[in-house]
Amino acid sequence: MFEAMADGLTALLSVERFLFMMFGVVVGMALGAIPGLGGVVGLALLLPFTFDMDPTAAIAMLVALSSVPVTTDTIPSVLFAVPGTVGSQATILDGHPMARKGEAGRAFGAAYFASLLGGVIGAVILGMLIPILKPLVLLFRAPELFSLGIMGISMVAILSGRVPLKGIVAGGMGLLLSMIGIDKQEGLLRWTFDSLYLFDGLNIIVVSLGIFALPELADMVIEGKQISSVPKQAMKGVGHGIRDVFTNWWLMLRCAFLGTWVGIIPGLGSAVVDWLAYGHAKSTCKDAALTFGTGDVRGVIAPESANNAKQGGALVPTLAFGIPGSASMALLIGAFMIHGLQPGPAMLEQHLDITFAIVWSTAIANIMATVIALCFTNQLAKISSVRINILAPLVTVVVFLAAYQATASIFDLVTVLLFGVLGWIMKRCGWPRPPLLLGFLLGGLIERYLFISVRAYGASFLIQPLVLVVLAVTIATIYYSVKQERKVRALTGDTREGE
Amino acid sequence: MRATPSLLFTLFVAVVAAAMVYTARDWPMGTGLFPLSVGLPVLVMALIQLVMDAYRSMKPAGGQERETGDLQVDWTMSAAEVAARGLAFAGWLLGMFLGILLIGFFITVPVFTLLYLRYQAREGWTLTLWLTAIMLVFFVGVFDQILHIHWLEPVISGPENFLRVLMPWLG
Repeated sequence: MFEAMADGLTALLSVERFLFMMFGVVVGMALGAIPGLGGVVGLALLLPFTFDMDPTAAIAMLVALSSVPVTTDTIPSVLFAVPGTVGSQATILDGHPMARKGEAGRAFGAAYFASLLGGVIGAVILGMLIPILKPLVLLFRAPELFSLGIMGISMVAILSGRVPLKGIVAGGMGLLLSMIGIDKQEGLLRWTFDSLYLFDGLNIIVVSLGIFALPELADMVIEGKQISSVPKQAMKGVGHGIRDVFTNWWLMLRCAFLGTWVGIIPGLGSAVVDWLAYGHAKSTCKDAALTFGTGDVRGVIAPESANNAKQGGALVPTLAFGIPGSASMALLIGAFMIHGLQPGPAMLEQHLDITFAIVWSTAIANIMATVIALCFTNQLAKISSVRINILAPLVTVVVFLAAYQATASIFDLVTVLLFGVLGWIMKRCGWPRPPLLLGFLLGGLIERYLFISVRAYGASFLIQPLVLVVLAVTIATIYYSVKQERKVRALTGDTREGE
Repeated sequence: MRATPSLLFTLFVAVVAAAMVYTARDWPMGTGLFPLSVGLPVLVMALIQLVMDAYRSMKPAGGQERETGDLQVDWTMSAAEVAARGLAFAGWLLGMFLGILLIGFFITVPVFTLLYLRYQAREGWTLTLWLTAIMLVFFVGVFDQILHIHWLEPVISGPENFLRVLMPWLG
């Protein structure tokens, strides 16, 4: 095995292959920074050009491309509260307030370095798990996946601050919105109003752009200032952010493991991982209930380490069984097959060197992306001192284009505008938006696995050992966060009734 | 009882939840089970929230600063000023949407950028033209030439067709 590891690294370090990998890194970084695009678009674009390429070079390039968008998707999230990819929504909650406090550089430094360590940890875990992949992945069947969905939705309790009832209703509305479209069980239409656009349900990119990007942009325009009014000299830089990651190394490590774990389980999806990590951080970090949402760097470190680590984890079922956990992994499987590699047990036996080349590509791509991103961090942070009226038309155009490219329909624009209005009103009326988004993300997953579980096991699916463990962890998390919330209320002297 | 925005929004949520539950009641078991099992508790909780908001609206206005687990709102501006500026920005967004619908992306994107920078941001012509050009190059370069997005046919296609005669490589 160690020989295969060395072979994988040697294969990757030839000049031609390394340059192709770097090309993948640069394209991936650019796609991550443009809202609405991300790795899937890059893979779809570059895949046809790899037909005649050397297989190792092609796969290294594509793996690198799919690994790094989650590093640079932080840029629009922190600066404009526009999620770069679906995996960077939770970063907005503390990253954007940091930018407004003149700490954009610090947020970028922390995010990139957490992304780097998360990505490398994900790759290391992937490498270590290769010999024991099969039993691990088979542990998670429909009942366990359902219980994980419930665990995810329980984060609503943590993400609702001091308005839990509004949070639960918002989360429930998110679940209901996720049911719009064709019902997967019976094939009937739900709340589509005979609109062809709604047959496939609402698009997550469009919804998240509407819920977060437009309301934040509107509020910045209404205030009429620059993103941050802190003088440039007083802005906290990238070094501060990197030190923050070292200070919070245990949180980073926990979230990296969480991200890898979520990636390993096919079907949980990249859109959930950042929320799970954010919720975990909020429920476990000291005084988080007081500081999260106001520009706490730990609220950036947690989701950023998790979403990069997830990439390594997602390669586990892809390589071991040929089961793609996401659209980008499905495209990667296509790339493997084009180059004569059949993902599954055979790949681990016959092409172990290439398998390890993939692991190395993931790790090296994360390192290179962070180095490149750090070089431009201070320049990017200066954007926060540009007047918002100059940035507003540019960001608006990007939001419209990002929404339109989701399904290339004029209704994408209608949807983003409607959700923009909804998001702005929710924010102004004190309704938390994260639970709505979380409910929307998890709705399809929970319903699908609930149905499969009931059909396969009846009601006994609820007493499967692993299901009980996950549900116990869920209850403990909710109990702990409620307890912490009460402690904070007592500390701040807030005697108002919880809603 | 005052009809506060918060109360009206909670009422809106309750009405939407009620409508969703009502429409789901006749669906077959497989289709309707999940919507009903989520929708009914949501409706009940939305109604409880409505009662709480109504009760609160009868008391003198209290702090809006309650931590909601979301990004914070700046409450220092007057409601009238927020509404005026918010409506102005909504007008720009609506204008862009209508522009795209009527004359297409290729003309709306540069025109919107130019008009906003010149007349809303009140920037000088030099910066306005530079930023408009950069936006146009980014839009055409990334979304049209690299991603080959399928652009919708505008209602008035004449201007965009004329542009395509001048620049035949446009998608």
